[in-house]
Amino acid sequence: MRQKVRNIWEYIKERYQTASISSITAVSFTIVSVISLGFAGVLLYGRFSSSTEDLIARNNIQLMNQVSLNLETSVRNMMRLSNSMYYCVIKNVDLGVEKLDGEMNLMYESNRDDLVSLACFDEEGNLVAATPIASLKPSVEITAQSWFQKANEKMENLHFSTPHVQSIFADSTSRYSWVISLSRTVELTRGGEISRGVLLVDMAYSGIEQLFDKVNTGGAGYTYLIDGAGEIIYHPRQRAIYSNLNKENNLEAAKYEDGSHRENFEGNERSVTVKTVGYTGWKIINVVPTDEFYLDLTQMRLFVFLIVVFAILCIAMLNIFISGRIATPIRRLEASVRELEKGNLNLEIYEDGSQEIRHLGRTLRSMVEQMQCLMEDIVVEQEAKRKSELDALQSQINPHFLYNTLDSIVWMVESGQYKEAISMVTALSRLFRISLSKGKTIITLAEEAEHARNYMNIQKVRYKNRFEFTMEIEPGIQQYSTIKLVIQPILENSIYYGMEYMDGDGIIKVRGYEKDGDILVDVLDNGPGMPREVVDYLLTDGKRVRKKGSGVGLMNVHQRIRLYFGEPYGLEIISEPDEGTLVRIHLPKTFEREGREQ
Amino acid sequence: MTKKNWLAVGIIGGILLLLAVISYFYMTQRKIVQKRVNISVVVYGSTAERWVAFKQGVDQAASDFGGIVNFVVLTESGSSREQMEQIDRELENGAQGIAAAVTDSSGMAEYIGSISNRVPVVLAENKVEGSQAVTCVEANAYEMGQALAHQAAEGTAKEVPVSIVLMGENKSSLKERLDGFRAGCADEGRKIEQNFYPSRDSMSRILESGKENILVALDDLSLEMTEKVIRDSEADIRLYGIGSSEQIVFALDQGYIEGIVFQNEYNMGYEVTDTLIQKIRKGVADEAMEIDFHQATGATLHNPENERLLYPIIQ
Repeated sequence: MRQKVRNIWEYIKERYQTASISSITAVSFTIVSVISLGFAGVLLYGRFSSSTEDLIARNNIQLMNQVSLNLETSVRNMMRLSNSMYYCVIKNVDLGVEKLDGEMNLMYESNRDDLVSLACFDEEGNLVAATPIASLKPSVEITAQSWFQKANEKMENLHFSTPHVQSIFADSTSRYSWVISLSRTVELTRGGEISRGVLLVDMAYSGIEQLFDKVNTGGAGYTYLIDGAGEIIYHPRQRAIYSNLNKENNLEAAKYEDGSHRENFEGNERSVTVKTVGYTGWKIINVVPTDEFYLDLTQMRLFVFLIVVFAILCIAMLNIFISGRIATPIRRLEASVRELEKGNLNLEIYEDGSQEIRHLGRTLRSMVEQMQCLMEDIVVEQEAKRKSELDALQSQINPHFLYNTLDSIVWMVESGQYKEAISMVTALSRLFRISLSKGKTIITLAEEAEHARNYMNIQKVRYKNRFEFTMEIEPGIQQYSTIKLVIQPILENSIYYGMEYMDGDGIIKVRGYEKDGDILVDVLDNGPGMPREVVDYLLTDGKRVRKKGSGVGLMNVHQRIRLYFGEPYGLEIISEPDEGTLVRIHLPKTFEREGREQ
Repeated sequence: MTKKNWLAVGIIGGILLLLAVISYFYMTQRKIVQKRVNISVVVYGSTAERWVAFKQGVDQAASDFGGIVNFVVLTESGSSREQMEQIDRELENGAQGIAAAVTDSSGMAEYIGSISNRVPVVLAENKVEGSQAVTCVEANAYEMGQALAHQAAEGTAKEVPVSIVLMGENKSSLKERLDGFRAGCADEGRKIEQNFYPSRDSMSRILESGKENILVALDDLSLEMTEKVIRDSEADIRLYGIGSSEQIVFALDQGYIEGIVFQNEYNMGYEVTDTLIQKIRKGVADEAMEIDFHQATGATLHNPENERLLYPIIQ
């Protein structure tokens, strides 16, 4: 796995390092943008979510404080009523002398919006006074009532019951009322004797219901009320909970301390805020399912994400554009360099774009111009050098040849062979005329053949006709050009190396013809021939010392042809010992004359 | 820029545009509000308070699941013909589904079968004969009848005669309650003397006999009527019944009725509406739950559990 990751990393690194400058710029800038914007987005979201949570928590607490205040006011009113009833009425009345009913009715009438009933019982549960219904149901057993028992359990305290239907009074209608009973023990005075009793204040449940209904209208979450033991006093879905259609975590919530809590109830994550109502021990519980709680946060998360992605994409687009602007001139300059690499020195070098690229372009153009100048100088120098080499080669005619020829002519004149002497002088004259050719390097093949024929005429005289010579040049090729003095040196070699030991039976043949678009001139002799090793170095070993001949050897001719016409042309030697030798001159079929020489 | 760069810029531009469109729709449409469905609940006529808890359940479910409810209670003497006409009117007025507590299980079978092919239909309390495909949300009427028999037998001596007050036997629930009650009486070794219609005339012999009698009514209407008849009577009649209207609960509290068996009307209304809305939205619904039933006597009426069911807090 680690190796795999390393391979991937190496691959990415390699791709990055070898990518174009445009890609490197765009990718680098984009990565930096992604990291910085991502970081900024996370910070922004974190800050926002924390603020939102705080805000919601603060709102919840504010709401609950308000509810708590209203509830406490309502409860305190009831307690005040109970206190007034007890301390201002019951304590001041001797039941043996007067009744409580009048004062009680007054109290009830002044608080009837919040009250359902007021009643006072003695310690046996007998009704002392009650309003608005002054009689009890015959079957009812007051001492068995929960509110009565609890009031007697904690005599010094006021006791608040959970909501219940007040059913002790003999109401002839089918109306019923849900109440919260506030009960306390009181001291009753009857005929001067003090006994214990219970004062019951039935607070209308509808008051609490209305109070909570107001805060449960819409919005996320809901608020409910429980007593200290967790019994539900109010819940917006109370009926559904009583019918087991819904459940509430009220028993657990009763254990929570005031403040914010998180709980998981039936698979739902919820934020619970608890506030205890003074004196009663009731708890107001505000529940916000985190799904709803985070709805805005989820939207915010998405919003931040979209903004970040949006910004990243914009920056990526800008990066591509900028990197394109930077890289395009470089790429064009690179294209110019590529063209230069191909050898095209005459192209227009790119000199646009930024200042640096323009400078580079200008420098490159200047370099190319310098290179062109240098190359032209080199060409001129090379041409001059080649010319001088050619001239030097052509001037390598052995002075011995001239000496021997002139010696032969002197010998002929002394021996009276004037005719032969004239013929030889004539041939020599022609030979030199062609050799000189008014300084020209290129002559026609016909002229070269003529030169060779004159040379052979002289040599036949000198060698007293020890060999026969024939020349056949196809008429169609005679007008084509050749460098001069290419056949004669080969004939010279044939004579010196092939005919020296012949005794009248030597044959030298020259045959010129066209083949595959080129001109071939074969010089064939029936001399002793050469072994292959000798043939192999004849055209390669330039340092070889010639023993005899005119000095313009095969190597000379071969080099001159190649120097002028190029690589494919030159000499080819085919020879076998005792079989003779064939030297083939390979020339191009060309009409070059003055131009090339210039 | 190269062609490749232009292509990249084009693609990114396209993504940006797409993101902009998505953002716009997502940000402006804060919550996908599920379309509310129009449903009609047509129930047979009974006593004034018969359907209070049931309607509370219907309203709660409609609020929870997004329904707009038209709740129609037929007249007390409502006939199956009247109910069918009412349902037709509701459908004409655009009801997407019908919940009905039918007044005649056999007489309306064909009609319910035919409308259930047009719109989703859920029945409450009473099934229709031969239309098993139509969902019915109900308590186990047979067991309710049995429970009532055991309750009546528990508080009286074996020799006390038992009579049944009968009304509206064309409802399937009543037939099942009757069967259950008879089976319960048989279990308890009680003999059912006779059946009555709940009027002073039909009960005159019992009212004037002066002997201890057990009277049993199997629905709200007959129980209320019977209670009214016997309230001022001197006869020693112990009245038991099935029902939980405000009048019945009051009579139980006052001691005019000895004991009741009652179904959780709130749950029934809630479940009927939930099932119907599911059917409208998804074409099918989860299996409807069987509604629970409870018992109460004068002594147990003010138990917190019974109070919560029998004295609805109007929310």
